[in-house]
Amino acid sequence: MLRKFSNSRTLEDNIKLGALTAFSGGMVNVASLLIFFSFSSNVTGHYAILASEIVKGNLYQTGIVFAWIFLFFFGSFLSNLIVIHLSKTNAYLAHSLPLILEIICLMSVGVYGQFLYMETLFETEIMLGIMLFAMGLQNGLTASISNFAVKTTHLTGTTTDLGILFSMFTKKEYRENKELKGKAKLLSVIASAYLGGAIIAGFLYFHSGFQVFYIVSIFLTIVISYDLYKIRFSRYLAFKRKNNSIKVNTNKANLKPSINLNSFTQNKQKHMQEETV
Amino acid sequence: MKIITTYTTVFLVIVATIITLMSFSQSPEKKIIGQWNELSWEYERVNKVGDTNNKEITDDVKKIIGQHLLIHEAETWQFLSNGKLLLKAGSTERLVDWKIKGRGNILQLKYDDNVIENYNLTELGSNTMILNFDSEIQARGIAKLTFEKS
Repeated sequence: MLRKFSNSRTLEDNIKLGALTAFSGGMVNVASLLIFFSFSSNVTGHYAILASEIVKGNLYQTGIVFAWIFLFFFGSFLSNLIVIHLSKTNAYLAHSLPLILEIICLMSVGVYGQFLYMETLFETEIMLGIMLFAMGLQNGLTASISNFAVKTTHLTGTTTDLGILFSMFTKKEYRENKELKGKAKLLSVIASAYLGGAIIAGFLYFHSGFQVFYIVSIFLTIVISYDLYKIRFSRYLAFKRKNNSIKVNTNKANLKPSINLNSFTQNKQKHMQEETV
Repeated sequence: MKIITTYTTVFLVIVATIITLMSFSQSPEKKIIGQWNELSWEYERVNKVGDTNNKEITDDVKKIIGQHLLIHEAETWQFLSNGKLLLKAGSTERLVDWKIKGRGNILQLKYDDNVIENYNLTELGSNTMILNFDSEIQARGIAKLTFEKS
């Protein structure tokens, strides 16, 4: 899911990554809506709110909403910064580091919310900011490593693309196009996973409150661990293969025709001299 | 090096803008503290059949609202800085907890029996406060309460 980059990724890689991250994105968004009365993954609404707060002249709220949008932007910025600067050194680390940061953010919201939250507006604003930053990290990562094919924190683009694709499928030539079918499958999985995550978070919130963020973190840990397991497993297999193989002497005889030819010539000359004598 | 300086400068300018914007205005949590008197109670969404300008509530709407709201009998709301709200209706008084959520646009009231009511804090000026019922997050409520600070 995380090891491969851009065009080397398969549809299956993108589906796995999209499903798990969209699921967690949906969970986070609904949890923040239920707890803090504000969305944390879809920024389009925040732009509309920013405009309305500017019109109303509410400077405080304008500042807050602007800060939230900036944090989402900064999350995406940082995520891609890590990917493009660390990919050459260690692709897995570069791709998993943004998710590790996201887990830290969500866990800190969960722990703070469960044990320390006094329900003040300041705390709410800070925690929402952290969640928007975390969602920016996630969206930046998935979009970056999948060549913009996977975006999992909001569904405006996904729904638009699905609408376009399904209208294209009214023509046979597009219906038989494997690439388009794959894209439709990927987008449908993302939309379903997001919705599924949102519904489950809704139910979980009423039972477990802030602990819902621990569950999201578990999902993200699965994403990271899956690839780590794959890397270790493939290394183990390679090691096993090396140990179990039958040793074959592959050393080729070091034939040096030039030397041999020379020695042959020398021998021949020597032989001729002897005969002459 | 130049690019790092440029990026750092831009980010610092953005952060400074946010801090400046916020410092020019008071947090809704501080703004709301004080005594507010109820001025009017009208409905923005009516159970309309024909007359869209009629803001008088129908029995159906009254019934629905009555199921969900408990505090609308109060005439004076006194927000205290310790997170308590004193609701006064004539000689009767009731103390509830208040919180502000979202970006300062949701007023949440909690009763002793764990009943929670959410209001859209549509406007919070130095003298006027407007609350909307029914906390649909991205839509205005069906009823509007206007208060004046005393």
